[in-house]
Amino acid sequence: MKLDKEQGKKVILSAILLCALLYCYFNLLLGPLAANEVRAEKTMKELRPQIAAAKLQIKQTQAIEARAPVASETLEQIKGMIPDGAPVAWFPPRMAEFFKRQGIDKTATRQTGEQAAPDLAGFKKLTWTIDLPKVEFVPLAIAIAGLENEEPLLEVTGVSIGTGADPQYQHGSISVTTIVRQ
Amino acid sequence: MALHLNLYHEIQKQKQQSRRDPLKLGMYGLGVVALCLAGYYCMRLREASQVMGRLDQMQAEWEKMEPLQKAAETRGADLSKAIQTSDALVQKIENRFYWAPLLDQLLEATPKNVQITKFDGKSDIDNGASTCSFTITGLSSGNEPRRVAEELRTALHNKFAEKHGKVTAVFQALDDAAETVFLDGRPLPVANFGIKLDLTEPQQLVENTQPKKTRTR
Repeated sequence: MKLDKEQGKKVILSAILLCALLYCYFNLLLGPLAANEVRAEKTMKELRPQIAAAKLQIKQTQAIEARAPVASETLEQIKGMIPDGAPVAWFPPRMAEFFKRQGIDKTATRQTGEQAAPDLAGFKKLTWTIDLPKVEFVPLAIAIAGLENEEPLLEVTGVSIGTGADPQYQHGSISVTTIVRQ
Repeated sequence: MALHLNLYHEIQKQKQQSRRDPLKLGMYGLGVVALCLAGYYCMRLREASQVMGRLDQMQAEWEKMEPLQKAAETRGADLSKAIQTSDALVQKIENRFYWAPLLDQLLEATPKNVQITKFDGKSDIDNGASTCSFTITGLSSGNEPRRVAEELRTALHNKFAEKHGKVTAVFQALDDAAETVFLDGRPLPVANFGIKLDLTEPQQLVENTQPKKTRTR
């Protein structure tokens, strides 16, 4: 089969058209489509762990929320044990009243320091010395037991008792740490 | 035999040539290829639109989840802090060192021929272990007052070793005194002593008890 000149021209033109068509097809149609698809897949790949992390976070928070009422109640109870106002205003009279109830009339309470409590957010520790110039060993021991039972936020860190100026009585001194609101 | 002349052979040849026209055949082929390409494009378009649909769905979900996650994160942090504080407070309350049982044990271990004149003690909770050290100073009386003081030291050691993990009890001083004391109507020699006790125990809940009023000093 032999092509004449006219047909030859048509074949070449058709081939050029075909090439142009294929170029347009792959570069202008399929190319952007594939690029979009790849971009979408990449975005989805990034989103998937983020969504999973978000779901996990929400689940963890729900688990924490389930524990929270007990902790909140405990915190409220503890806060309720601490009177309002400056500790130096309420703690010494509170101790004086407590020891009076225990039969020890003379007390002198003074603040000796302040400690940071990094694990207790919203609270701090104060150290005090309670001086008891006229005590006896057993009433003091009973008073300490009462103090430890009645004041859960108070910790006795030191006890000292010895003979004082008055030979009839001993001189006592108690070091305590209290947890108060910041 | 009759002569048969094909007078249309040129027309037939032209028709045949027209049927086998490569351009026409090429156009047909091109049409088929174009159809295939169009079909493939449609298929890819459908796939891409499915992917985009999934992406849209995922983005919508993320847009919904993101504020919830941020709120949950903040709330979780607040609650965790509150829980940690609450736990730490409970731990501090429950793991306090209780002095009352110690004073009670000291009273129980002290015999009547010993007089304690001074007690000085300190407690501390460090690294999960509570430690307490105290010094007692006093007078022991008897035919052998040094032996009485030693018996007291041993008794204190054994008494505290029952409840506390590690106990050391050492004399800081033990001297014979010049004076004598009357006990049960008899004059007895006296020794001055000082005993230092160190107690270490793992952090745990200690039951608080009030000292008994059975003995007085």
